[in-house]
Amino acid sequence: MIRRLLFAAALLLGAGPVAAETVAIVNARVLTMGPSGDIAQGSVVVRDGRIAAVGAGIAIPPDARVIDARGQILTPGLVAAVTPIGLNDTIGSGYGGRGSNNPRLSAGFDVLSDVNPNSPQVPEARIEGVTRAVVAPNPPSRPPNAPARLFGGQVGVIHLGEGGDPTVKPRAALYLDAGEMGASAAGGSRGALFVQLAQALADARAHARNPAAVDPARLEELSLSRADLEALVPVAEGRVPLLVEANRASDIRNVLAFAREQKVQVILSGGSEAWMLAREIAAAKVPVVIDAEENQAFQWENLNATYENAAILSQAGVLVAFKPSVARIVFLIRTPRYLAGRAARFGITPHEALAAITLNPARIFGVADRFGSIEAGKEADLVLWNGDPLETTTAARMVMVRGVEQPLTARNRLLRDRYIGTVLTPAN
Amino acid sequence: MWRASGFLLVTLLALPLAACAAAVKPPPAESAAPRPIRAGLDPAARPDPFPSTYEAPAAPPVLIVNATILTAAGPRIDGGSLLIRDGKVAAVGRDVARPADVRVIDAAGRWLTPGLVDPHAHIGAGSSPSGANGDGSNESGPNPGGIWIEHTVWTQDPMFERALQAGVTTIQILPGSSNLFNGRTVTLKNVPALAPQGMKFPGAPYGLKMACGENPTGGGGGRPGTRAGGMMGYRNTFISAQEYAQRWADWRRRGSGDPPRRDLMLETVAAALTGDIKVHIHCYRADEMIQMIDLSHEFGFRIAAFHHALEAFKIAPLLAREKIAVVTWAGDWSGYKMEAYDSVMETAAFVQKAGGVAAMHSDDVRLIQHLNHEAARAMTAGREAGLGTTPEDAIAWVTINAARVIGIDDRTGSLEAGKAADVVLWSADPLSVYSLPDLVFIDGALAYDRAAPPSPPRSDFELGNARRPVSPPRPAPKGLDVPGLSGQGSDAKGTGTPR
Repeated sequence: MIRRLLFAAALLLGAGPVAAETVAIVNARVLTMGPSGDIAQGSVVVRDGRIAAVGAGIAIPPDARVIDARGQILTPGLVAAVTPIGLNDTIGSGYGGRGSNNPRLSAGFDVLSDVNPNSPQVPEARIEGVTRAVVAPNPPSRPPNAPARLFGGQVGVIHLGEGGDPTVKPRAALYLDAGEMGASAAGGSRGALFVQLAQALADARAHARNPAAVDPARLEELSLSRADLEALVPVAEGRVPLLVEANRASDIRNVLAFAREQKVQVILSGGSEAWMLAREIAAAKVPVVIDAEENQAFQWENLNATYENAAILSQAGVLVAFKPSVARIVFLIRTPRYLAGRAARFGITPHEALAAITLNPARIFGVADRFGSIEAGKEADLVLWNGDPLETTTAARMVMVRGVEQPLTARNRLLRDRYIGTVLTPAN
Repeated sequence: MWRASGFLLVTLLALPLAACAAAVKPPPAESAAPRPIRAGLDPAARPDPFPSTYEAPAAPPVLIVNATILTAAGPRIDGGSLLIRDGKVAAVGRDVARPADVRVIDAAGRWLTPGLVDPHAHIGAGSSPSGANGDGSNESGPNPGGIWIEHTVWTQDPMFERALQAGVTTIQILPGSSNLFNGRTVTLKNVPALAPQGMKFPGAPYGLKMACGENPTGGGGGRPGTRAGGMMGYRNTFISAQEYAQRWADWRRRGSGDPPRRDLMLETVAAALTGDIKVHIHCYRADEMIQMIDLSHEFGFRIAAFHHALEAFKIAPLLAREKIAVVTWAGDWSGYKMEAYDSVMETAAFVQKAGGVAAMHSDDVRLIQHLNHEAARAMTAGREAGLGTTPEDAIAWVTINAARVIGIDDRTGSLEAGKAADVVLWSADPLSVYSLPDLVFIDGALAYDRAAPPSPPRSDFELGNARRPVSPPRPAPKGLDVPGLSGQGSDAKGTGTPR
């Protein structure tokens, strides 16, 4: 009975921020990333886990615990977009992540069940100011002699606060690879991929109209189980976006045409050559989660990758967020701020770069009403920095997730502290 | 160096014979002339079979003034000048006389460092696009220690130019790490060439790449399945190499008869035993590094550096005592595999504090484009931990210390009179995330100018691709800690004082 009550309480906890503490961060240089812009000397009041007020000269509630920022920079919590964070204890040589190996489960595969919020990766990201993550499954793979596969599975949004259920928004998007990996999993070529995708969407629509109508033989042929079809319905109806990994310009063009014809929502991921189609992408109102550091032909589909990608897309009016490299996810999985800092050398401002790891990913994945900027009513994800948050010489001094100040400890710091005496005390 | 030591060895071994010959009556001369040794069967006959053809191009003298200079050989110089003449650093300091005939570059607000040295890269081997260019750095088979990685290096790899644009002037390419002995390294000047010979750093010593832990003990392909099996493999090979060296020494002392049969792997390992080839060991865990140190004592060789070495923070004083350098990263690596589970940001700072030699390496096509940031992050972590790490330390990790690891620190890696003018002029503090190289000099010749980027790119591979945009030479952006964010302008705020 008690266990059931606890379980019910945990469910409630998972639904939204519950922190009861009232906190006021005063005397901060607040980069709100929201309508309030930059506040040279401002305060933020946090109550019940949410931002109650932000501005210069706002009233500080008498019951608030006051944190004096002493002029340091306060930003929204950072978002690690399209990442495998929390999915693996150790992630193998280079590749990590999780995906379905079950030929009867692709679109329905939900990677959120794989997230371990107690993984050491989570606090190691948190102490670098990361408070949310968009967790994506691996691209579909196709074992030899297995049926074609189309989808990687469901993408979910989590928070990185200590304790409890990390779920923020399950099924925020459905992951699909429209490049070399996806084409190979779908039957060897792009031509196979898009034809089968159209069929799958038609089946999902038919299934939505009448669950008995879909020919079970065709399901077998498409390797779409009932679970997969059901997961596909909100995509086919334009309610949930496809998150499509596509790097080659021609692949991106295919995706844009497919989205237009099928009337589905699309978020592009990767987008090495997206700069070549910036106007078309902007006209289609398709956001792009780019790998801002891709500037070389890692694969043929990245042949024309360039550091100028973010600037060209932004100037064309495309909503851009940053993600770490899919192929080399060990890098910067915990530090999106350096992706942003380096990108700011190539034609976007540091502000735009910061937006690409805060507000923009929140907007792209439909959670900007909850986090991504410092605005009254949003959940209080706040990071206080002892300098420019994008700089190599800066460290986070306070990290708050959903109104709860987080310990600035992580396994790497515990290891450091265990051994630091060996170099601080001269060995004799 | 192979030539020098080979000759030295021959001379030394010949001495007692000569003394002996002077004391007693020489035996009657052999009637038959000694059989000529066929080409390639005596390594001393052609000790440098793939010689460097690199020659520094002639370049006019240059004087850079008003720069903030991190020389990697002393404290920061503010408002400093650097005179480059005949490919060398002619003078550096606050008061450098201005010769009449010299081009002057005003570096106000900008920073100078030595050219960056990457002691561990795989570019050129394992090139991009990897899907089509599979000549990686790992030779298959149980014992490929006889390979020379230079024979894989593809000089058209576009990554060389990317690295140059990030300030990297010298690169050691390593083979491996799928095997216990992975073969010989090669050190390259980052200059255009049709074949590696045109890039080879003249006189740079070779390295032997060895590997510990998960990579070489994966089993399969005749490789050991355990770390114990790995250690047996090292010891058996070193035993063979000692015997091999002895056979050659005996043959040279005899001065007659057929030479021993050459074995490319034992030749490399034997030269590593004498120190002619530097030993670089890929090793993550502290316990394995300690095992390898005992191995080096058993066979009497010196370990130049442990590479990756994520757990060096656990044994920094020992590594300093053993004079073994640590070639590592800042440490986003925890959990990327089991042997990398214990990883901290501060490894280089620990090593520095213990009096050892730390260097940053890339090992990767992205990291080679921001080695300066990697050093800056480890510096910041060191400071945060109370280790007192300085910008001078951090710059040394990517310049002079890396050169020391390779064995070329007498020629490059610091801005000191007489050394090669391998120089980077940065748009801002090189430890800032916003900085980029404006100018890169190699041996005094301008190798890269951000204001006049090469178009089309220098690699044949990139010719005819869609017109990738050339980045205009923007000034470094003002950071988020500077009010008035929309404005742009160069900013030399520096990272010298902890905040």
